[in-house]
Amino acid sequence: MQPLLEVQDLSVTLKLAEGEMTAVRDVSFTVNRGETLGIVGESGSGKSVSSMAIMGLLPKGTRTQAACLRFDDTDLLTATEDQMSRLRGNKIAMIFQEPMTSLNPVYTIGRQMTELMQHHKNASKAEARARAIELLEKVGITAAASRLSQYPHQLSGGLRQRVMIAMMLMNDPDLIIADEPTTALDVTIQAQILNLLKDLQKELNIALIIISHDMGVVARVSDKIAVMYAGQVIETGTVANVLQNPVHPYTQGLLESIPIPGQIEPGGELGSIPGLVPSLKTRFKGCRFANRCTRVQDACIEESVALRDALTGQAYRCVLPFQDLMAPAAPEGHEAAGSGHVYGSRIDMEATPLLSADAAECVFQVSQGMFSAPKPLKAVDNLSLDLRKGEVVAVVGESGCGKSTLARMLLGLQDPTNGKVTLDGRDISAMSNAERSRKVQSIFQDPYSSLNPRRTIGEIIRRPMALHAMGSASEQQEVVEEIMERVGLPRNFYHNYPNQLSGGQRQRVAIARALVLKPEIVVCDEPTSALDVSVQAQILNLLLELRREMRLTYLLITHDMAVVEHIATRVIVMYLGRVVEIADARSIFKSPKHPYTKALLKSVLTPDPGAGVPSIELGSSYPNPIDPPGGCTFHPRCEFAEEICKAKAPLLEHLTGQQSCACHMVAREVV
Amino acid sequence: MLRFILKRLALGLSVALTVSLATFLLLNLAADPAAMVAGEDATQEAIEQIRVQYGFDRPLYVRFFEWFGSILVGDFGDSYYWKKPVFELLIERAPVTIALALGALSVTILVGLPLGVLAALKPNGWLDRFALSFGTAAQAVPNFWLGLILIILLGVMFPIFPVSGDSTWKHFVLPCFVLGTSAVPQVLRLTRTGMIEVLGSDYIRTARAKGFRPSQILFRHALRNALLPVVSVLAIQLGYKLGGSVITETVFALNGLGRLAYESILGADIPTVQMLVFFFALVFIVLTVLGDILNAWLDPRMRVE
Repeated sequence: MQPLLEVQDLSVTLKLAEGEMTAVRDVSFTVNRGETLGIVGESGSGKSVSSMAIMGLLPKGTRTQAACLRFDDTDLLTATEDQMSRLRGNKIAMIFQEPMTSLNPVYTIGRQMTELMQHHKNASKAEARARAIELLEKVGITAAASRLSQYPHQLSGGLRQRVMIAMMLMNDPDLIIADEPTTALDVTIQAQILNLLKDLQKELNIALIIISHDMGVVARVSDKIAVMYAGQVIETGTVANVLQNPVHPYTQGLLESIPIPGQIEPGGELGSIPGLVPSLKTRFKGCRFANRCTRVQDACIEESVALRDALTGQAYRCVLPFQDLMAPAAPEGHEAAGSGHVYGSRIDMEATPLLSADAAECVFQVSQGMFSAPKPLKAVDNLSLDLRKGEVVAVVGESGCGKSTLARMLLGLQDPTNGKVTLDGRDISAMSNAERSRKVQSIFQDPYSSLNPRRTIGEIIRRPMALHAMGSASEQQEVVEEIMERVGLPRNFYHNYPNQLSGGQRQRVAIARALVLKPEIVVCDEPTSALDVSVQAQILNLLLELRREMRLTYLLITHDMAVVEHIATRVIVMYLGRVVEIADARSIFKSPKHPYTKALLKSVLTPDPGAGVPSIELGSSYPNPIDPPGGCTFHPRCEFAEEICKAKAPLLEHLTGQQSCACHMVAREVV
Repeated sequence: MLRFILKRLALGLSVALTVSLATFLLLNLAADPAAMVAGEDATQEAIEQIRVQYGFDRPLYVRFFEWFGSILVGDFGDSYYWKKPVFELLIERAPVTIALALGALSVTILVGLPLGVLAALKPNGWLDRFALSFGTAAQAVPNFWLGLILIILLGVMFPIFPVSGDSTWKHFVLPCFVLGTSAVPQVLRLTRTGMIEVLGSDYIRTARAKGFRPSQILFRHALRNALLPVVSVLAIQLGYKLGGSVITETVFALNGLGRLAYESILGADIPTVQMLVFFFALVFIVLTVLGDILNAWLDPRMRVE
């Protein structure tokens, strides 16, 4: 039987203002009915361009070449625009990353769903409507009939992605291409959507291509996998083969750089791939990974390599024989540096807290139009917390849980409505900016927008020193260059501008800027979530190293439990502005108590082939913070909820050691 | 939806009152109204006589509430110059202006929208360059100049259209064209920018992935989104045009509200000026509200609960 989709030696050359750029070169894969192919790669690996080439949706002027690009009986290379538009949305459906913007805001869900069937199948309005209701129910949307008249903005992100999936199923497609379908969603929703896709695929016998930067996602849902790097497939095979016995040094490095709960010693160093993902505008010669490869040979730099078979069942693109590649590399320096380090041994925690919040509350008045009275939104509700020297406290929760507001309060950028925040025993709102900023600094999520594009790297890092008038200009430059070297930036970047740097390098600039005043506390707000996986590990390692050397205290804000286990000593889990559980890192991961903490932990997808996606039974979606449920705010989504949970908000109660939890059911030992 | 409209109208009415109060104060405080009515060469005695006769000697607030009380019952007072109720004047003159404004708006829409859309389909293509040059030219050319050129060309050299008066539809062709052209650049650019943005959006990518053809995508999926910002601008433009275009009406000798406003300001015809300002304010308010309602109809996100 011939495969449903066959792609052989696909090359795509995009036309840009600066000239041509070959985004994809010699990419081959096949997908059968009922099979899932996972394409994994970092930004610029060409994974999305390949899928757009299949859909025929690349911009005009793009050159697409291939030995074979066939779907079912159609040659996609020679198909007319008319033939292509009959395939799109009909036989081949595509689901995109951004559920918030991928639906047309001015039309109802119903119209957007039904038009697809009316367009391709000449269905009557009633038929299409019936089908839309059927599919909405299938993707787990309640009150489906009434949803049809709703508009996209009335639905949450998770619901919109369900609608998107249901819509793309309207015409019973043979192939679905899902491009980062869960990347923009909260972690607990991610598992639900992946399970949904997987179930539908089995039930309807669809071929599925899932594209992601996340090894965990691809590993859990795919049968086959293609690892892409700089526009090429560098390793491909069954998921079990590739992930359990990776051959290519890049695949190996990528897998090592993912923090896996339970497998990495807390605070230990993650494996990371040195260097940066190359730009596709580079004129490549030889192996594209050569400049980052630890096993680079002379041959790698000269000859380009073809994909070849390893006897283990997968194909890989490397000059070395697979037996050599699979033998463990000689232990290198960094492992020695990482070993032997245990929390608490090198840095003694002091008893007096450095920074603490005492029953802090932050209430925003949210205006809802000119004539209605503004409503209070409790972003942070009665929160107490101590941060002691040497600790890494992680605040975990999904979007809307108040973690960023908490960070702003602790930085002194937001005054608490009630309660107070003290730094070194003094009220932080009474301190001057200068005093405060010498002690507390911050690193933000998006290194692209948090650096002033009109200042050079040197100026950006030097700025805090200049504001504090620390030393002469030449002394300042000296300090800046030292710190640049420390965070792994070449000194000659001093006069470069942020747009000349990659994401990882920019985040290093942000770290350097935060450290230049030698603060005691650094608040890191999602410091790695905008970065590529291989770069993420570099930054996490850097943060850990700096902490040891400079005796720093971190407050880490994140949604990613895997990162938390790797670097935190204490964890605070937040839900709708309240702390639901607080404990030392070990207890959180070994014996989590609160049902929400458990769900968050379950949502971590490690690259574990065959393990499937855990089902997370969280009813309904994340509530609107302006109108939180009464009693325990988590009760509508909790499987253990009883009457008391609806009636009374649970208090944070001490359990054992450092662990406290706010849950009636935990207190009664039901859970 | 009804609540939304009522809210907007209530807001609009308060704006109209504020504008009226401001006009009232300006007219009465900027200069001595009695002296203005009496004319330049009047004696002090004559001025004093007028002051008493027209009631300018009474306190400001008394006169404001008197004026305000009478507009509530539909009485705008009598014109000093025309010696008849100003409301009758308005009724007499308005049809010409309304015809001119609607005609001009049609020209703006019929030229600006399609040109903007076409330009957006291929940014930097020849059509786009043409549209943008046309826009710049239309913006640079003053109304009176274009009017005069058209009169010479199509009225005198090739007498196709009459050049003055308002008795037939033919009289309106040239002035509508002149007045309409002046708003084309703004509408064209806004449509073009909106369309380029919309065509690059994620939901248009979705529409393409759904297998719709380019023309279907343009008209069914993109146009409505791209028009949202244009609607508000069109409402304001219609407001300007209904407010009377003094220049266009003068060049083509149309007896509309623009001319009336011009004459009554020169003649210190305070009741007429006051009524016109109040009327123009109301027009703007009603049109903005209409624009908002139209936008809310086009865009469900604007229907604030």
